[in-house]
Order: sequence, then structure tokens, then C-alpha cells
Amino acid sequence: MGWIGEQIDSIKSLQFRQVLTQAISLGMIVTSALIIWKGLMCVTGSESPVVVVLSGSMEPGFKRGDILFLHMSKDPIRAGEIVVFNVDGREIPIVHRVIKVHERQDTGEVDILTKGDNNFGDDRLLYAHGQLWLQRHHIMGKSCWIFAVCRLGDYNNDRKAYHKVYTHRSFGVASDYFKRMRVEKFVLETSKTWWICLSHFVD
Amino acid sequence: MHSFGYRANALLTFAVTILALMCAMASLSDNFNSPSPTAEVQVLNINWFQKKPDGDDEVSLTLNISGKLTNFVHMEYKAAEYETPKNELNQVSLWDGIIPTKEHAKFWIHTTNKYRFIDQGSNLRGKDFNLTLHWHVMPKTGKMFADKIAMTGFRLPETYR
Repeated sequence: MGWIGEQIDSIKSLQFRQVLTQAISLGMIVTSALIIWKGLMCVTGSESPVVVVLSGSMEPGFKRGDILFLHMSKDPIRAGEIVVFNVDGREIPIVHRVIKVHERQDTGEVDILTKGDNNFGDDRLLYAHGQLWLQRHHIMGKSCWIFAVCRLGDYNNDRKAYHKVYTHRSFGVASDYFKRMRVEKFVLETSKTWWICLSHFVD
Repeated sequence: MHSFGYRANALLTFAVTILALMCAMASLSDNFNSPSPTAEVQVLNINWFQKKPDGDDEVSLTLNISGKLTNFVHMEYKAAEYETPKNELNQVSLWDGIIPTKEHAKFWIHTTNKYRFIDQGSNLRGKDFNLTLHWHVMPKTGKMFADKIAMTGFRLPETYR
């Protein structure tokens, strides 16, 4: 009995170590993703430094699924720049081009009007009811880098359906693999999806 | 050790590294490209110039824009810039366009202003303004960059018409 018991113990400890190694490497992936994300936040000064474009309102410049790197500095906003802004009562921020800027003499406050390159009219219809201009606090960042080489997957025209399907699918895959502790495949799946999980979406 | 998963992972990592390298090289090569675009604009006519019922001035212009830019996809902006007692800077886009290919990089356009030229207030009579051609290069991958040519010495009439 003693010999068999030893063998079982050694197998048990081996499996425990393997599981531990896999758990640690998994933790490393997650933390490194988080470190990069937070690091980008510090460097760029934007609260969501990486965003994925969901709509075609800026075509042909930005297509659906392009990844944008944002940057937020104290530099003034000027006509022609592409900014990401929040509108009150709207969940998803919008990335559009600035077409009008009026900057106050005394306070330095700005009134900004935007328009999507592919849209017919300006964005007043998208703003909150009665809002004519964007102010500085609506702006989340200016887009400064674009990464359009790997368009992330096939996009449904309906972005909500896309959002739901894609995030659910990737989380489903993630939890599946997590259960089975198949770290090597999980790495593949995570590296593909962690950008999406961490990235924000803009219209 | 040599399971399918490991091999696929190694292959993917390698492919992504190469892709990242190529993207980095492509965006670095932008630095060697120093375009020297030229542009010219004429204000052919002031179609009308009025005070809107809410008190803001509005102008309609006919512009003749010609230019030679580079062969990138870029957006191009003709903006009027002026100063008023209330606002330190006013930038109003009057027209824009997209140049998708090299063939379209040389252009000549006769147009009225595409976006409305409205002031915040009633300060446009006899106002000096600049017309600036901005262009924003939109690469497939890499840093977006912008430049401009400013043309000075335009003036709006003293009276509404």
C-alpha cells in the first residue's frame, strides 16, 4: 500500500503543479494586458486610449473594425482634427471630424461642431436635444494613430448585434477553455480577444 | 510539447511579430516622404451676405480651389479663420473633399461653400479673414499627420447684400 500511495501522491502533486503553472501563466497574460492598458492610459492621457470603430460614418478614412489610438493633451482642438466625443444620454462615444471651432477670448472655452466624413449633414442631430455645440469636456481624445491592418473579424451591419454576439462568443470561448485548463489554446484565444475586451467602441 | 496548439501558437506569434514589424517600417517610411503641395484659392463671388433672424451673420461664397497634393488618401479642408471681439479664434470649414488616389491629387474645383459660413454673433461686416487649406493624411496604419497652407488677405464687404 505504501508504494502505491506514494505513486498516487506524486501524480497528484504533479498535476497540482501543472495546474498551478497554467494558472500562473494565465494570470501573467491577464496582468500584462492590464499593464499595457493602464500604461497606455498614462502615456496618452486619454481614459480609453484604444478604441474600435463600429460604424461607417468616417469612411473611407476609418472603416468598421479599425483600431484607433487616442491621445488627449492640453493642445487646443482645431478644425479638421478627428476627435472622439461623448454625448449626454448616449452610451457609445462617436468619432468624427471637427468642422467648426469658436474659441472664447477671455475664458478659452471652445464651441465645437463635428461631422462624419461619410455623413451628409453635421452632427447636431446626434447631439443631445437642444445641444448646438460640443464643449471641451465632451471630448475624450483625438485620434492620432490608426491600425487598420487586422480588421477584427467580420462585422455585422447592425453594431448592437455585433457587439452582443462577439463579446458573448469570446467570453464563452474563454470560460470554456478556462474550465478545461487548456492554457496553450487559451493564449491564442485571449491574444485575439483581449484587445476587444479592453478596447472601447466608438461610432 | 509539440502539440498542435503549441505549433499554432508559435506560428501566430511569429506572424503577428512580422506584421507589427512591417507596420512599424511602413509608418517609419513616412518620415522620408516630404511632399511639397501647392494650393491656390480665389473668392469669385459673394452670393449673399445677411443677418439671420437670430442675429448671426451668414455669408455664401463661390470659391475656386486648385491644388496639387500627394498621393495618399486624405481629407482636405478649406477653413476660414478670423478673430472677433468675443472669440479669439473662429475656424469655419467651408469645403472638404477626399482624395482617394494619386490620379485625383491634382484638382481644380469651382464651388460654393459646402458648409454654412455662420458667425457666432454679428461681426462679419468688413472682416478680414484667412483661408487655410488643411490636409490630413489617413494612412492604413501608423500616425495620422496634418499640414496646412494659409492664404491671407481676404475681406468681407462692409454691407449686407
